[in-house]
Amino acid sequence: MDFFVENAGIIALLPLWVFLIIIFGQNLFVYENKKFTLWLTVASTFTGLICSSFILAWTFNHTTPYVQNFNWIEAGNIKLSIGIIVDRLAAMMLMVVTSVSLLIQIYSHEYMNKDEGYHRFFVYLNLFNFSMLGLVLSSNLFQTYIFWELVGVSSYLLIGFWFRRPSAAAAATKAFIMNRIGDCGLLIGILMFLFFSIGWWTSNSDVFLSFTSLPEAAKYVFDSTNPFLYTVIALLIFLGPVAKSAQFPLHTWLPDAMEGPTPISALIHAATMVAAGVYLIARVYPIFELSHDAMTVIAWTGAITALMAATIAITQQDIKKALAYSTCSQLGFMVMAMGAGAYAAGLFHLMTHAYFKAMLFLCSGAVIHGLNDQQDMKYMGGLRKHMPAVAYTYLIGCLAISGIFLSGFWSKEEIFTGLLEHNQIVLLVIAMTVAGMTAFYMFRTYFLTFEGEYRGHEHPHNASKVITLPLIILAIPSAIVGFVLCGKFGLPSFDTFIRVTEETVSHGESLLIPVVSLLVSLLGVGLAMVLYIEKYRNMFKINLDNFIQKVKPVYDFSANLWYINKTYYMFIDYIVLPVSEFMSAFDKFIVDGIVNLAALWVRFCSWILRLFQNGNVQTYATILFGGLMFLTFVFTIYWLL
Amino acid sequence: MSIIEVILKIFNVGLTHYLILGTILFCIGILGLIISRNVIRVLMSIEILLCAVNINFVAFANYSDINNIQGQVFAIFIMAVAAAEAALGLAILLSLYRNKPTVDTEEMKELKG
Repeated sequence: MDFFVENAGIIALLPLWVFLIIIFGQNLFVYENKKFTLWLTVASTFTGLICSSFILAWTFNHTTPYVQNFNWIEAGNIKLSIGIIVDRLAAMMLMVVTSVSLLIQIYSHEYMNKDEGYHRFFVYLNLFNFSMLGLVLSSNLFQTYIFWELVGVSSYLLIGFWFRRPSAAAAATKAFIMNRIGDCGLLIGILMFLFFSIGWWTSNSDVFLSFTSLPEAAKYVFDSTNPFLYTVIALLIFLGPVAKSAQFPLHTWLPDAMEGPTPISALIHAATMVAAGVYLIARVYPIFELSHDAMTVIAWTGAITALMAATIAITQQDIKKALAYSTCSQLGFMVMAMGAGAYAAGLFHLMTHAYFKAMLFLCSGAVIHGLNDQQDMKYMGGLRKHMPAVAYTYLIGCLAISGIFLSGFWSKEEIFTGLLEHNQIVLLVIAMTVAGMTAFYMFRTYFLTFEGEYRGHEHPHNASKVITLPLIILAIPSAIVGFVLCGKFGLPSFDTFIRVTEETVSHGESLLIPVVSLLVSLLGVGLAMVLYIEKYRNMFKINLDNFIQKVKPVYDFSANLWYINKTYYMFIDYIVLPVSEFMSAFDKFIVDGIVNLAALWVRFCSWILRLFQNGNVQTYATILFGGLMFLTFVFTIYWLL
Repeated sequence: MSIIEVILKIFNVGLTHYLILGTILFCIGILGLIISRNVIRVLMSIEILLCAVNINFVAFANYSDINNIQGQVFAIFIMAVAAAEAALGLAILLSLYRNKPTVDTEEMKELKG
């Protein structure tokens, strides 16, 4: 087992090799056969999955992380290394990433089969796998930052996969720019942290910015700077996760990212990459933990995101947009839990969410595929009869995310308990509200898609086995992973598995939280049933259109995405663009003008001087003797006077 | 008393007269160098310049110290160098003429800046 741990880097390197093979095989034989690409990719990920399982098994018996580092750059005081860290957090993420991505690769084979960019898709997919696994295994913050950018690039490439479609190209650009804002903050944060802790790193033998000694370094920085500056550093680092995990001010790229192929929405924009933000928060948790203000900001950012995204998700007509906002909302949940101090609960939710959200997206992909690229829920309905496997797995996903007995219930309950333990009553109320809304909008999508009468025009055809198989496999962890790791009834506890600090929080085993959360969720489901199933609607004599008319201001506010996009566009149109145009004009006329003026002067002088350089030797002689005569004359006058 | 000495006595010739002669020759040489359009004449002007220098040398040698003949030696030396220079200059001109069949200095402006 030690073998797998010591060579954990292989897990990340295999997809890189496959990526290179497929790219450089472009003119050879690879493009002849889709099977070759598929089998290489699947084999590399499957090997990764096997290794990850062994690593996970290893971490059960080992509490100290395994670290391996190689020197990379040495410049004066600064020594940068590249390496791997294997601890419980990394093992968990490895498991999640490899398992989800394996299933999604199988699914993509069918989904992308007709697409001309099949090989390109798998190239990007492997690039993403490499960067994500590298990110998970990174042993220090610098390396994390490198892979952080790499996942950003692969996300950009995959959102803009159908780049001929203007909306996809725009969405990719938007995602890239939004992430750039966050990455900029993250980089400045890392550099500031390094700047203030450089003394500590040089006097210690550990690798620069390595995660293993981050707590001591954070303590050193906290002691040597004033609290305000420390909070600024922490929040700058937090800006990275804000962009990557689509938190409140920078969340708008995630719904637009649904322009990419659906398997990508499932893998990158629901299960793994967006969770990388939460993963980074977990990794640099020692930094955040010391600053109470930073933690409060993190918790409230999460809470606002969760609430906002949930309210928006309620009115979305596009099935993928609705799921995207629900992802946003669930990420808000995780960040909120992290910020409130419920570290393990946030990660637990990350894990359960990765499985059920990936599955929900794959289901939506199967539906979209079955209806020939129809995404609008207005033209769906009654699909349970046409594609039962998809419908039932989607139902399992809905139950899981709504927190009704399946895995989401256990992870959400952990979050609620964590919030209660840390006395965050306001956050708890928000979280409960959002949980109810989650149940409502998820079952709304379920009822609109799979129940009632079919409202579309295309003939729906059932998904093939290659598509349903990953769904069914994913349904298993979606259903049980929460319960298996809940830590009750003699089952293993995720909480004690992942917890870094040794503090023992007394678990009040009250039934209040689970019962209330279950009731709230059931209320949400009930409301969705009343509003979106015709039978119950008739029973309660509700006309949906009249109902929407009654709450029109609220409905519009939600349907217009809280006017956040519009505000951003207005901000860009009326402030950013005029300012940048002014700057551009300043650069063009003033800065360039000064430079051009200097050049003009030089040109004038050279024009004068050029008159003397006409190539005729006699002119040179004339100038020579003329000059000599002039000097003689001058000196003679001088001598005479 | 030789006839030259008689002439010198009659006209009261001194160092200044030799220097004036040298200056006049030098100016003629410079003028020829600058305004000639024929390359051969330019070469000849250079020879005149050298002659002017030689006259100065000999004059100074004669009037400063009659026993010291360094100036005369230098004059002979310069004549030898001038002969060599003329030969070399003509050779260069000849090869130049093969490439560009003209002796007009106005036509030779290839080194224009």
